[in-house]
Formats: sequence, structure tokens, C-alpha cells
Amino acid sequence: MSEVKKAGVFYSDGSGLAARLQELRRRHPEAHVTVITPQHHSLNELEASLADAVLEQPHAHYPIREPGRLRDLVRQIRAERFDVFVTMYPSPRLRLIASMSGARRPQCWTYESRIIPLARTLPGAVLAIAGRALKGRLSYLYWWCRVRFHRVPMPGEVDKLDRTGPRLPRR
Amino acid sequence: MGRKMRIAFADLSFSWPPQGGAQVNVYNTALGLQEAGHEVHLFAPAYDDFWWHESFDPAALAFPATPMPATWARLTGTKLADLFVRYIRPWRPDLVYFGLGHYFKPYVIEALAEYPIVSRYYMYENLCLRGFTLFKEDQTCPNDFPRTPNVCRRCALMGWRDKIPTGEPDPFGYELLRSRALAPAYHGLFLRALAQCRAVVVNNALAKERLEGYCQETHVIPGGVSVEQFEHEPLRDREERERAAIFMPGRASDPLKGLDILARTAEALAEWRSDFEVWVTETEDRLEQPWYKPLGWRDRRGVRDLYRQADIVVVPSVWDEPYGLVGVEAMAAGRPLVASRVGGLQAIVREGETGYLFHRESSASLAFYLNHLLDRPELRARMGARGREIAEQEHTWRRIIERDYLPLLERIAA
Repeated sequence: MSEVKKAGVFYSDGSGLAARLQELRRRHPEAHVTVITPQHHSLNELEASLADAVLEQPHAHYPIREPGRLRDLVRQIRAERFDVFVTMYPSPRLRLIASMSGARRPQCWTYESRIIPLARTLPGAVLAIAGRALKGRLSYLYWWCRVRFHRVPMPGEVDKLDRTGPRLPRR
Repeated sequence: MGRKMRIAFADLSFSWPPQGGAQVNVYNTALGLQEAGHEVHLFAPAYDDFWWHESFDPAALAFPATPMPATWARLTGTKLADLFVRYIRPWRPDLVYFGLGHYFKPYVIEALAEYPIVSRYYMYENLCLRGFTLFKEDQTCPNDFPRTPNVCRRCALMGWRDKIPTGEPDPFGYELLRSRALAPAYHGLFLRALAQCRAVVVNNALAKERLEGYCQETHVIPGGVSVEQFEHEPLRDREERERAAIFMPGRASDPLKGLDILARTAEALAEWRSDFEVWVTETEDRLEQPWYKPLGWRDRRGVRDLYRQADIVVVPSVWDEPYGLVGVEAMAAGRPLVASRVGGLQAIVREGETGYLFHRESSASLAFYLNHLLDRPELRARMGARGREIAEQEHTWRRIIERDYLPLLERIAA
């Protein structure tokens, strides 16, 4: 039996909303599913048939410098008291919105099918965002060094990309 | 038929219902070989951290399959290789057919060294580390990973320089890092795996040409189409005021698909005629022109309906489409096809018979052919009917299995 009575899907951009709604319906057949979508995105026939309610938003973006927009959005989402809150991408902004949704299980369902559990609290979301950004930068730095300084030995290869910077030592 | 073979199908990202053409390809190849009397079994990871039907339900497939439990977020090359070996070895196959594997493929191929392996590549994943497209700065990339690994490693890293530092790269970015494809040792592993495969199957001549010398055998085997799913409705005459529909199927939002070229062409055409519309399966009306009709996302059935209602199908891709499934679908639906002269599309269109090929990014040439076809409804009908005929004769899965796969696999297994 499904414990989920109310599910919300926050549509920000991209394709695959219908597929997510179908899967949400399959997993939680009893749940009331609400789609939160910007006004300019009108749901197509299939998407509309899979949603029980649509919460249209006047804006598509929620910039930090306009906190009023975000506050109104969060107020509306919290009023719905979702059990599951699904975002389409794991971006920092969507992570923040999900953490403030008040849902028991905020999740990101990515387009390649992964389910990423998101933080339930604002400090948790901020920590997760900062941790990921740090890990990402360190990872990039590591691979940059590996690619830059550890070459595959290939005699006679033409270095086509390195036209401007200092020349790499050749083996 | 030769002796009955036991063929293990290995695939890293199989899902059913399919999420892309590669899964359809694996499914139909396995099904066709089973129908030809061989024993097939699909082995694919079922990721517990996926929302899409937990990858696939074996009961929904027409052949035996084993979902191998795995967690995508914890995959590494060696873990994945162990997983495949653990499941495939007890089944004792005569041959392993490897479908999608992306950056992890060499690890699994090396681990399954005791079996003859046929490795299938759908895009240019064995040539281009950056995104499997082999397309850079508006042209076919002159480099490829087997020949110029250092250039390709740097190009791949540059390609991901916006995504990796965020800590949330897309799945290919994750795989690039987890498979350690940027490490110098990966190139050796990659070449060994290519050399170890008894045969490598690719979609077009460009991929074959680049792989010559690295593999024991390279074969061009295009995908097929289920012609029976496309009702052939002959093109009807349009009413005088009715506009002809030029349909661009596929992911129009992807810049590589060439919507910009079609938009430029339609804009030029609209200056001297208004009897056409451009249909695109896109949600946003980003052109705001009277001739532009964004029809929104459609499922497979919906797309087939659009083919049936269209008068001309256009595939204006700017990159070297590995295969060009939409081109074959247009033929199966009995519609004339105008496509750019790239990749696998060149082998699909018979110029002057089923449609026309225009030079990549040449909107003048595309405008000429569209104008030509718009003026001649009887030519459109003739080309459409011929396209359907050719699709039935040459592009069905049954034909491809009989003509291409059976002789190859039976020879290798023997």
C-alpha cells in the first residue's frame, strides 16, 4: 500500500514530464498528483490527463535578487503539504526549493532516470550544494592535471589544441 | 541455418519501454535472432536508483532476460565487469553481443575475454570521448580517440568544463569520470578491447573507415524499422487553400538536428509562397512565424500519425547522423524525404527516387528541393510510394537479421 497521498512535480524546463507523471502514478496509484508549472508551459493532452491538479506560476525563474517570487512560490507549495516533491533537475536552485517544500521525501528524478534524494531542510540543502560544488571543482582540477601532465605516449601525434599556451613537455 | 547458438546480449543501459533508438535496436536484434532459431538471453543492470520502471521488467520482453541488480551511483568499470562476468559465465554462451556500454565497455570486454565478442556501436562512442558525436566547430572532427588520444582527452575535458565543476554533470559526464576514461591507461585498455572483439558493428561508413586497423573486422549494419507499425496511407491531394505540411521529426531542440537551417529555408520560401507549414515536435514557439507549428512532445504512436498527415519529411541534421532512423521511418510511412548529406542518411535516401539529399547547412539547396516538391504533388506521391517499397524490401528487421547478422554471427560462433 502506498503511503503517499499527495505528490507534487515541479516542472521547470525540458521534456519528459509525462514519463515522470506516468511513473509517479504507477508507484503511487492512490496519490493526488499536482503539477507546478510556469504559466507559459501549457500541459499537453497526455500530461494533463495524468495530473489531478495544476498549480500555475506567473514566473519561470526565481532569481535570488527577487526573494518575493521565491517566497510566494514556497508558500503555495508548502500549503499543498506534499508527501513527495519531485524536481526535474538537481540544480542548486531546485534543491533549495525542494528543501523548503515541506515534503517528507523531496527527490530529483533526472532525465536519465536516476532518483536523487534531496535534503529536507534548508541548511541541509546548502551543505549539499556547497559539498557538491567543492567535490566537482576538486575532481575537475584532478583530471585537468592528469590530462595536462600525464600524456598517452603516442609518437608523432600533432598537438592540435595547444596553440596558445606554453608547450607541454614532450616524451 | 547453421547450428543453434547461445547468444548472450550484454547492455549497460537497456530499458523497456525504450528510452532511445539503441534499446530498440538491441531488442529487435535479440528478437530477430531468437526467431531465427537461436537461443538468446539479455543481461542488463537493473538500477535500484532509477525511476523509470527500475530499467525493465523481463516479463515484458519477448525473449529471456536477467536484470542484474546494481546501483548506478556506485558503478565503476571493475564492478560492472564483475557483475557481467558473474551473470554471463554460468549461462555459457557461444557468443556475446555487446550493445550500449559507453565508457565502461572496454572493462567488460576485457573481463569477458574467453568468449567471442561482437561489439555494437550506435553513435561514435568508440571514436569521440567528448559526447560521442565526432562533431566539432560545425564540421566532422578530424581527430578520433584511437589515433589522437591526447587531443581527444583534452577536448573531452574542455567539453565538460562547465558541468564537472558543478558536481552535477549529466550521466555521460559521470561515466567519463567513473570509468577513468581520461586517464592515460584507459587508451591502452580501449585499444585492447577493440582488438579483442571478433567483430565491431557500426552504423555508417565514416565510423568504419576510422576504425580500420584497430579491429579484427568492422561491419556496417544499419538499424531497421518495424514497417508494419506504419500504416501506409497514400498522399492525398490538398484542398486549394490547405497548406502542405513539411514535417521535421526528432529532437528539434538539439542544435545538431538543424532546425535553424530549416527555419532559414522556410523564411526564404515564405517570401514567395504561403502554401506550406513546418511541423516540429517541439513545445516552445520560438520562431513565432505563421508557417511554424510547434506540436509539442509526441509518443511513438503520435509521431507515426504525424508522418501520415505530413506531405514532406525533412531531416536537416548538421552532424553526421550515425544512422538516421527518422529517415527510414519517413520511407516506411510513404513520405518523400529531404535530408542533409551526412552520415547514415546518405545510405538511406535514393536521390531522385525516394527523396533528395542537400549539402549540410545549405538552406538554398534545401529551399530548392522543398520548392520542387511543393509544386509537384504527383512526384511526392511517387517518391513516397517508392520509399515505402524500399523500406519493406530492405529496412525491415527481418531482412537485416537475415542479410547481415545471421551470416556474421554464425561464422564467428563457428
